Amino acid sequence: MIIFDASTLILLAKIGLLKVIAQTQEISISKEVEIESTCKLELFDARVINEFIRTQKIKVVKLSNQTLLKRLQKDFVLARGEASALLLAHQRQTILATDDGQTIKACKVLGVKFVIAIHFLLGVYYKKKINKELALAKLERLKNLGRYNAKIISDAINRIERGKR
Amino acid sequence: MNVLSVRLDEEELRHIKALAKKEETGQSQIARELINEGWKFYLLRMYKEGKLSLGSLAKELNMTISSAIDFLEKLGIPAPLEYEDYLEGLGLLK
Repeated sequence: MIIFDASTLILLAKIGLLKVIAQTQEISISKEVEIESTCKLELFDARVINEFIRTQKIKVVKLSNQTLLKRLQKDFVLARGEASALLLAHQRQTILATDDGQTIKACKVLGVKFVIAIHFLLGVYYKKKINKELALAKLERLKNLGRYNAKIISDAINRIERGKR
Repeated sequence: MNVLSVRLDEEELRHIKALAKKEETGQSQIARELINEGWKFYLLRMYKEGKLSLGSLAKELNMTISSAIDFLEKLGIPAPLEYEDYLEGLGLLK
């Protein structure tokens, strides 16, 4: 199981990769992340995420410790969704999917393992769920939306071109 | 609306007057707009420097996270993610 915060969830929905990722990974989000990512259903990504929740391809988990949530928010200057995802991943000792720099800093402090949207793209490509051309096209879209630094994009292109980890 | 008296230097006042003339609106309106734009710029700088999370940025800008991502893309503001962060995550997904 992987816990997602809104940043990675929305990025993957925007580039149309969420469906194929949900087929290979068990996705869980907090109630707070659900609210953040589906609050404007006129947005394409919000509708996709909402549908995945409705059909239980994305599991929504309720947090019990609100005091700890507020403390994480304060300590790491995070929004409610980010702090809730971090707390869930920490409590369940699982990987957190986040594309937020501030949340990644908090992961390092708390010893939570993390991945970003590009890792999922590489993952589905390695599993041959998408071909090389599609992987490169999705990466191009992700480059702009995720605003990754050039070194990250260049490494991901090399990995896709080589076709191995 | 609240009232705040602010001392401005010559250049600041010149900017307000010039913009008010260009936009054909009042100086108070232009001053308010510049304060709002300045606030946005400040928040974006904080985000870019890794001092503000994406969710907090979106909240302060009164946007959804999705719209904030689109806004950052439009402005070309890089995500505060390091190459090392990316390397750390490689191989974690089964």
